[in-house]
Amino acid sequence: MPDIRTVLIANRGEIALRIVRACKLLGLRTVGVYSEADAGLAHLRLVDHAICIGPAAATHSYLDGERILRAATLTGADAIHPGYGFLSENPDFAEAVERAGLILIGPASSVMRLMGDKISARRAMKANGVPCLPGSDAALPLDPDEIRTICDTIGYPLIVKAAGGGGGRGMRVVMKADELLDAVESARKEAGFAFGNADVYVERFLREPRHVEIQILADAHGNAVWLGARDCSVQRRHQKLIEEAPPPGIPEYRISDLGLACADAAARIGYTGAGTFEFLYEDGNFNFIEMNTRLQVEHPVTEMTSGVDIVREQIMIATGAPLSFTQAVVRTNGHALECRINAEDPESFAPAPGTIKKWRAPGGPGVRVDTHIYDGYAIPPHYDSLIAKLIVHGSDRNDAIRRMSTALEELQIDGVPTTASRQVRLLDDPDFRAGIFTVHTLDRRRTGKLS
Amino acid sequence: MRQQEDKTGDPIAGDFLENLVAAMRRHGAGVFEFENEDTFLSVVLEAKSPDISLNTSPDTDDARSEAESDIFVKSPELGLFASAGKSIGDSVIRNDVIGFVCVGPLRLAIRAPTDGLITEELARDSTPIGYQEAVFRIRPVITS
Repeated sequence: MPDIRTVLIANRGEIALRIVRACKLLGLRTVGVYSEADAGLAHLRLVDHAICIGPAAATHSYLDGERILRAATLTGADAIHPGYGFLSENPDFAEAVERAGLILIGPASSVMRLMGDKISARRAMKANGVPCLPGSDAALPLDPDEIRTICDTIGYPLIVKAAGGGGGRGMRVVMKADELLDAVESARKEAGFAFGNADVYVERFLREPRHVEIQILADAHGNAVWLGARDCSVQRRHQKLIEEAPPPGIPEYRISDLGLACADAAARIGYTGAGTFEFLYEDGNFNFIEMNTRLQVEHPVTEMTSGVDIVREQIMIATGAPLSFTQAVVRTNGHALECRINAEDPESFAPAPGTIKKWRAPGGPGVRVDTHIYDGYAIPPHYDSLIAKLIVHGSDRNDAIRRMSTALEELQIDGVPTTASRQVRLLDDPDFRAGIFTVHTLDRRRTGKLS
Repeated sequence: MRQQEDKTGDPIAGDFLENLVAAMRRHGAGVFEFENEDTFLSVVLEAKSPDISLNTSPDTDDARSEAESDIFVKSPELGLFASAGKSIGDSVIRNDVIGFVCVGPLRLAIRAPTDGLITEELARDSTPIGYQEAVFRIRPVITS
């Protein structure tokens, strides 16, 4: 069984703080790394050793695997928690960690590579009984006639996606056959620039899907459980704004069937750690889109409904320990919501870095705030604009919405604009109340067309 | 960051300082000084290292003034600090090698940026040192 004594947290912001807290619960030493622009991060006060790894640019600090590994070696860390974003889903980094004899708190690099390539992930999921959209099962060929034949068989509209991608990059919606070849060409170019892999594939395009995802945990002993589903349909430009669990209006038995299929697939592919299977849900059907082989930003929503400390379990799994519970004892309770509070203009969503002049956190029963900000904290312009996650838990959806509205009213962040005021309005939105928000709703309202 | 008010006693406007510090960070400048007839401004970006106490509390105005002119010598890289035998009280000449930072097989020299006196050692031999983390404090020798 691998022995973990010191965990290097290869991340910043609220998630770094969240991981430090989990490590402390387990009595582990912690190393915090930071860039030159980040010396004021809150978690650096709590770690046993803090070390500056590079300049502000993420490519020379948090995204530089060699520097992260160097910091781990210098500080005597035996495990690395990558958090989310940055290097968390980079199989080359995971492999480098393994080669260095260290433990990455996440899946093996081979599994990360399998699920990181959207084409091989799709194939693996189909083979393991996870529902997928009609689409190509390999990268599109170069020959235009062959491309046309494949896509005509799938039918239009369809979406061209980057095999190595995510976050909306390298994606093109094709409404009609005569748009196809241009879309494939431009998606290939964008994918090549963004991911260093120009392979693209196609899937049937859904017009009004919801985003539903399943949280799983799997250990190295072949045990896997699912902890519930989340609905993350309130998005703008593929970036989530509000998440909730369970997804409203979907029969429990459908979610349960899907959850079991995901846990089973995770065990079959040899997955270890925390992971999320993402689906588009339309007309009563779930369609696998990708797996996130890491901790999700919205994991607290599931922690609130399941009572499981996902980060703690993740670390325990990395030590080689079996899951501390079985599927039979997992019970979800009530309803949870999360609002991502971003330092952004609430209308345009343009990032708005600045200094927090005053910060007052909301509280009360069922209210949780995950944040790294404090009075006087300067939000650097170099990174993501997420500054806090406000999570509430209620007896049911209406109760959770009421608690979230109250908490948002109580929240005070002076010095920078935030998305909070927009989220207050969204909670009152009739479509949100009815649970019929789709992933396109916000973008369509903003631009009058699909994103 | 230490900041100094101008000689007239007016605090330097916050926005100006914020922008200045951002520009210094962007361009990797550790020290900025400006002087005209009625203003003297000195901004020194300190490497913030939660593990290391700067431990400076000059007792007198003169001592404080001298301390404020001190220069923090920073590690050019993340690595293992290796001593070059320099310690508090040693005189150094500009470009003297005062330590090393070892990055794998590389051994990068850390040089004195000015003639002066070492007033503080901020890194111990064979210990990890962060990128741009202060390793020495040097009081410049003013030559007329």
